[in-house]
Amino acid sequence: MTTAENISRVEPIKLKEEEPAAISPRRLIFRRFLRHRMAVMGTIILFGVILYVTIGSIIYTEADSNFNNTSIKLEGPSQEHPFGTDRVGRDVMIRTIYGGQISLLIGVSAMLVGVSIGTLVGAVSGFYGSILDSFLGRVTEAMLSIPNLLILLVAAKFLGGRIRDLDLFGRTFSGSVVVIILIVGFTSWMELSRIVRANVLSLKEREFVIAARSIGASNLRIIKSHILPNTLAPIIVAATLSIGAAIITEAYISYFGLGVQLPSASWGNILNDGRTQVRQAPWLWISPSVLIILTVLSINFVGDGLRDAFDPQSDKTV
Amino acid sequence: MTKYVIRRLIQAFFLLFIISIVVFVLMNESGDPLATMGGRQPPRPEDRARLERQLGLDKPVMVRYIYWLIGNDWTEVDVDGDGEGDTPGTKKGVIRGDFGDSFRTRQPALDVIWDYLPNTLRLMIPAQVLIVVVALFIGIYSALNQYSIFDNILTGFAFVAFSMPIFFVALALIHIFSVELDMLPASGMYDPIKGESTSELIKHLILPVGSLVLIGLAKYSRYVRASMLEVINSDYIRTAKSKGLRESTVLFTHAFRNAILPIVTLIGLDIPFLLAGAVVTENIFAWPGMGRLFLESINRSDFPVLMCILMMTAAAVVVFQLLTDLVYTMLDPRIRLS
Repeated sequence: MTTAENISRVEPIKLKEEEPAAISPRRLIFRRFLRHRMAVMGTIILFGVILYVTIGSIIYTEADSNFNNTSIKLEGPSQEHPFGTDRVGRDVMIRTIYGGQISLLIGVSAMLVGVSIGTLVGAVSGFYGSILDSFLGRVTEAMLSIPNLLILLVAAKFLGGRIRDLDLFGRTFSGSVVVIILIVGFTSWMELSRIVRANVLSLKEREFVIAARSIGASNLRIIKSHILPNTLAPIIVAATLSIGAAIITEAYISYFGLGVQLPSASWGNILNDGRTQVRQAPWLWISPSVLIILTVLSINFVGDGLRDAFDPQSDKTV
Repeated sequence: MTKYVIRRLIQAFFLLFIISIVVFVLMNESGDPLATMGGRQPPRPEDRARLERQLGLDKPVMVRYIYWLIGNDWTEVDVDGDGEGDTPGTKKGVIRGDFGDSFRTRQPALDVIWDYLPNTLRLMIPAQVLIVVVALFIGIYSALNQYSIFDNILTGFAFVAFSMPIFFVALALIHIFSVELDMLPASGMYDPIKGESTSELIKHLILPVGSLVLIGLAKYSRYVRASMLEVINSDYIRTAKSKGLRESTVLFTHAFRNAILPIVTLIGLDIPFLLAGAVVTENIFAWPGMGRLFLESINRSDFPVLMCILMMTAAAVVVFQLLTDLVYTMLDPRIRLS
């Protein structure tokens, strides 16, 4: 075989394999999320918890959750009452169902309040700078200088009993639920506002923002359609994680009796009920605690998965 | 440098001033300190009016704030209720170191805090020291053995601990060690029968410190691991290794010293929060510390004590932030303050 022959036999190198089907960024993020095993498991567990509190409330009415029968008070788990009964003979399982609804409601609503404030403060102080920025910066610092739980307890005491009970969807919600949502939201925006501010600071110098400005886009429009969409990823991740944090915070405040009040149950105030019976009736604190841990853990896994999905280069070590 | 410190201190005073106004107003509208003063019965209206005048609660909230801040010894207090001042005021105000008297015990608020602070430190210092030491060991070990079984278990543990309310850990520890096994006491600092001794104190410390450490360890060990990983993957470590230095020399003289920098910041920022105590842990274990004092004071609306705790913590946070920044520039000369 000659060299010439040899060369001619060399197959032409394919520069590219078949062009892969175009994937939208959203799909790509979804795929990366599915590859994060713990995040998928978290989603499933979270789904399970949501099913538990919804299907449970179809089977049992809210009246069942408040039905007390002192002849069976403080009974351990049994066939009839799988999670036992509390100090006035209410079924703990049904209370965790209705309490779970309130705890999840508080988690999501407080997240919405906190994320709105954090995004607004961060965007405004990053975008407008100068006096507004240093003022908001001081406010953020002030909020961070007092231990969160202390200020939460003071705020819970301040607002406690000032908001009347609400009647929604044929159910009565204690006004304290609104109080908790507000105070948890108002004390959990600081870290997000710092992240958003830093992102806005760098984004507003980018070419596409300058281009938008040069064609006469208003500040509001630049923030709304050019800057915020580009800082959406950290906002979504922080929002997810703050749902879990809000659920834990609610549990702390309610544990001290300053949180959700009757007639509403929450995972936190079931714990408060069991506070005096720590020794005799461990089921009173075990079942709501386990539900809190399961929920928050899976929310944290989902948040972690989202972070990796949005930004594969993100620092995974912390 | 001096200029920087002075500017930061001025900012800090301004910050504390703002915090104090907001918290004072919020707190003074948040409950009735007189409600529990008559024991089980609510006080009679005439007693109420007299107590209000005595405690200065008859004044509008901004006047009360001014008295709190600069004292009222320059004016006269109306004690007999005829609408005119008759007795000279005795408060010296916060700027002269007088935080007012506790509504509950009528002692100066600072003295009340002074009774509780040492107990909190007895709980928080061992916990913090243990957290840092253990976190350094396991953080470094798992960074050096990234993705090993130990490292994966640690990651899992950290995730669970992040998601766990501390009362679950505390109640679980009580349930296991003091209800089931009956080995360790679950409440208080000393046993009322056995009296006060160091060995009793240590016995009572184990469970609360244990729960604080289990939760705190997650955050610290993750930080140590992250910062160690960043350092050992950097160029100068590779250079040091390729020069043929011994593994241990590289680790301890090159890697460790740089990896520990961010941990110094973390500790500096956490120390002031130790003063406020662990509200939840102290309450579960009936530990007579600041966290418990805070909750008792909130239940009884003891504003002077509450203000004292909050302002002390806030001041400590501000001071330690500044100190941490200064220490950091000394440890890492690349950083310049501006």
